[in-house]
Amino acid sequence: MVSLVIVGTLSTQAYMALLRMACNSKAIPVFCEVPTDPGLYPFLDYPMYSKAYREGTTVPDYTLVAIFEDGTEKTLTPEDFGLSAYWFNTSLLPAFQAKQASEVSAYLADYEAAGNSPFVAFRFENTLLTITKAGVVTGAPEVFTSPLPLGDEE
Amino acid sequence: MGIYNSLKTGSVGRVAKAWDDYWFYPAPLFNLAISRIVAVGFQLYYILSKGYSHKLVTQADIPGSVFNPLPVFQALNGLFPWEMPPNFFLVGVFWLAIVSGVTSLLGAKTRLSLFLFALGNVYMQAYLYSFGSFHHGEAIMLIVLFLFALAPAGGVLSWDSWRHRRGGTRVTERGTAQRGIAGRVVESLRPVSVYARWPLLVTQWLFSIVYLSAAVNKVNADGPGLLSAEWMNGYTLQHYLLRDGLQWGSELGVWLGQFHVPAIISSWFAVLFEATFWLVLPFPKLIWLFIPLGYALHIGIWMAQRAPFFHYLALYVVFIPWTAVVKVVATRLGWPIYGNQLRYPDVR
Repeated sequence: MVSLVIVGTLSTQAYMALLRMACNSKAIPVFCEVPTDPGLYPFLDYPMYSKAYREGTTVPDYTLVAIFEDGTEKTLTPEDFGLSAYWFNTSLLPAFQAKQASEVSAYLADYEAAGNSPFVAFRFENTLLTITKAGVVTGAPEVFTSPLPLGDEE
Repeated sequence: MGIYNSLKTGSVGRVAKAWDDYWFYPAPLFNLAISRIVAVGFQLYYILSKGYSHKLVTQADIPGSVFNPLPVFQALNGLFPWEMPPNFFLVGVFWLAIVSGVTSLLGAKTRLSLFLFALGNVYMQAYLYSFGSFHHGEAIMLIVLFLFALAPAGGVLSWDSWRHRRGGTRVTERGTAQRGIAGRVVESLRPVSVYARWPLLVTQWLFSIVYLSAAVNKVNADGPGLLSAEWMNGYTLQHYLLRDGLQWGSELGVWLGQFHVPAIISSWFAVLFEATFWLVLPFPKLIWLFIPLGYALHIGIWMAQRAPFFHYLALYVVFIPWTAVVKVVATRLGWPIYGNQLRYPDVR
């Protein structure tokens, strides 16, 4: 019984973590039906940070700024929305960048429910950082400002 | 009978014996018990400090989150009459995990407690990861908790063992009992079991597979041949340092991301560490090199990139030969541990 547990645990982990790569490289096509992560969670593949980048790769630096009725401004943070940095970066910022009206509206409701003062517009800044052998080069920021609430057409 | 004997003495028998010798060689329960205490203690701290009770009831309300249940969650949740668990149930699972975690830590009804703790944690984590994103940090811990539930993890350093000693054979009857905490620790070193070694070894194998997977994924990427050093070109690590530093607010990451040569050196270090970690299996003494390096790697990654792999640091406990460590410490403190106290086979 215990031996079955040992074999089952290790073979499942090895299957998910190592054989998928063989599958992806087409070296062992018989294994190409491996479920995609996290299909067998907590047994996972571990390809984190595995994509390679070359000289000239760019990294975006996003900034979301609230503009209040009196013209004052404030850079918004995950804490303002009661969100983790992960959700702020991977869900909220893309929603504001793409001006997704319903999601932005929901985030603003959370923002105001947390006792924060409502703002009438936001400014989204995207500065590209280019990595070169000589160092990191900061590009000119792409900026757009949008009044709130966002219209449906946005 | 003839077939049985030939199996027993033939190559199959030799393989079976080698299997038993590797996984089921008598080992001190103390090592397993220390691992149980550290692993459970860490996981308890983790779900409390990360506010799981709050996360569980608010996750579904985050704008843009879509419930797409993981298979393991569907399997566990299939026992109940709802697709999306109600808040009272989620809170109940959280408290079940807390209570069973405390009893696992204390070693009371250890197997049942560990099983419930593992089950509760898998349910909570799978639920939270059913909303479109998942992370890798907790996965090994969840597997290991189940392994510990199948092993005599409460054999010593537990309420169960204390009750067993009171009700059954007392160690003190042998006339070698120690007094006080030191005595209890020394007494705990002695019991051995053929089932005390395998969960620790399986965890070590899991780590080896996971690190090897991480390494192979990196050297398998984007190159023209089977292996490629493209990932270690420095630009890759600079990219991740800058990206994560900006996203997660690590000034150290943004600063480190400016430097090309240190990024090349760090990249090679990371890949070599991951690719060779499995050497601790055939050469256990290498833990004294790899465990400190692992701490340095994961703490460095946390400081620069905010990628949390603290579960790994806690689970490194399975690599340490605690019995030998305590023997050394006890000897230096003058505790009389040699003689009859530690007569068990030379545990590997």
